[in-house]
Amino acid sequence: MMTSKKFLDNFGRSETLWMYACSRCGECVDVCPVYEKTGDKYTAPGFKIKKMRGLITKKLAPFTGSPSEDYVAKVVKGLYDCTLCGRCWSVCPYNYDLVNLWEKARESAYGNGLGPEPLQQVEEALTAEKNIFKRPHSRRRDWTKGLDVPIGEKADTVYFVGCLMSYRGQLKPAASALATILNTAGERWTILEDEVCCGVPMKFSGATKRLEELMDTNIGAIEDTGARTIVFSCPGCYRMFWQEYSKMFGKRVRMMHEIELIDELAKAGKITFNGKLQEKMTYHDPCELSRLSGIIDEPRNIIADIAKGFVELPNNKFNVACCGGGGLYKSVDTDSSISIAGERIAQAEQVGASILATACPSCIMTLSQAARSRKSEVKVIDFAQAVAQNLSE
Amino acid sequence: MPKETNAPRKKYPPKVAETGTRTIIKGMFQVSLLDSAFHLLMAILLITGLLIDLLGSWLGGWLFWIRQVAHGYLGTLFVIIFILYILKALVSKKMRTVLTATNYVDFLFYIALIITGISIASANAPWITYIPELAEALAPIAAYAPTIHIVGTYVWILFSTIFPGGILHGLATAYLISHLKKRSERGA
Repeated sequence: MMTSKKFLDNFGRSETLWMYACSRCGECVDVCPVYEKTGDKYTAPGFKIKKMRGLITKKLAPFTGSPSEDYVAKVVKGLYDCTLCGRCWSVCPYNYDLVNLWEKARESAYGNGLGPEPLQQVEEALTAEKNIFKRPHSRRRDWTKGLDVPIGEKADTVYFVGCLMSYRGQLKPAASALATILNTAGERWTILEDEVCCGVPMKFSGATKRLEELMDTNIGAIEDTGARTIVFSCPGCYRMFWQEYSKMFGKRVRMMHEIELIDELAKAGKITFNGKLQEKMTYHDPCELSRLSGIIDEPRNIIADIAKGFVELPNNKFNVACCGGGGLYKSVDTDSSISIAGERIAQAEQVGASILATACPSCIMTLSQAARSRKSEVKVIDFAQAVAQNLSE
Repeated sequence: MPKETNAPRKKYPPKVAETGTRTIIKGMFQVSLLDSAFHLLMAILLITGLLIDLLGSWLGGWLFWIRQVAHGYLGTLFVIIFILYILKALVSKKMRTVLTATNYVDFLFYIALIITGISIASANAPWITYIPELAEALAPIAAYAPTIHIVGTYVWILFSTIFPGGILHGLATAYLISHLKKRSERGA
């Protein structure tokens, strides 16, 4: 049931104060990929703050009037028409954590029954089958068939595969590539016997009520392996773990994205590259990995070893332009999401790249869909795949 | 595509200790010199104005300096900065997108305070004789200007606090800076 009157009621003091303190400089407006694409003012970060501030003011000073359902609906739509890429935060002169603000606001919207229909379906899927696709939980490990992948063993390193890598056939080569790298390096590793979604889609949609349940399952399964390192292919899972799970794990467990691990293995001489990749290759920095996790130099260190013709995309590294697939935006507005990704593909074409590598399953899915719809010859691949294909014997 | 900016590389999530007075000042300069000058002068004029009105009789010899120099001359500078700021706000789509109706009402208050301020400053000032048109234009409000200037300021403070305008923006910023500083000192 819609309870728009209670929307933002549970907003924290810090978030409220920050919205009042916002300097109205508008720096965040021009850089938003969704606003750039749609032109809808309600998607512009500064405009959203303005409207949410208006809603809170009406709560604090009721004599200023009460907002209409339509007004609230527009604000909520704007909140979900967002990739959570953090570009707005990156340009905020006052360093205001806007990603956190959008997530908190979504939580309030979702908690009051204002979440968009596609995201409610995601929550249902997570509740029923512990994955975002509502595919049977029992088939989560199907991707390992025919591969040398240890499951639920005692190990030093756990590979946390994630929903996209586990269930999307297109990404199977990416997951198996990391398995190959780990085996080549002689790591003592395993995947979990009973891995479930890390919960980041719940955090993104604001459906945080059942988050703990998922987290507890994963924590228990990881502790059973005795591992002290967890490695991720998905930057969403990775950020979820270092931001949320680390509160439970403390410093007992090290969390690494696959790129960090590959960089570390290469530096330790556990893997070597043949440097045979002749094609012109470019790299798209996933927002959650580069801007929000600071992993910027590591992929470039590795690329220098594997590819002869590397070329940078414009709007890269910390200032990377989002592919359009983040923050569950693709579920909310697929066309616009693919259209944003199309621009990234066009940029790859402009720099003359035939391979576009990236290190995020969501980016791969979105970018490759955009490449197909543009009939582009740019091939989108996972970073681990590019590495695995160039490992020395 | 979004324009390339030279945003400095920051660390996510921002830590409380990273957001303090220095961040705010750096941020203002990052937006523009105009933004910094506007905010700085606005704060000085508001504080000195309140000092003159509330503590004037206790200020002794300081009153002259505060009224004439800090409030008067800097007020003149503010007029120029304000005109440029308004022009910038009107021509910048991104600023128009984020400014609220209250901010525009704030601007109207500033205009009223500027006009009455000039009227007060021009009384018995020799420079006014060089601009007879201005003296003529200000003549009808000369008797009421001090009252309008002072009452207008308090009405603006009240208005801009209840409806979130410039004053609440300033108060929230000041609170956050002091609060964050205390939190970071406690090691939070």
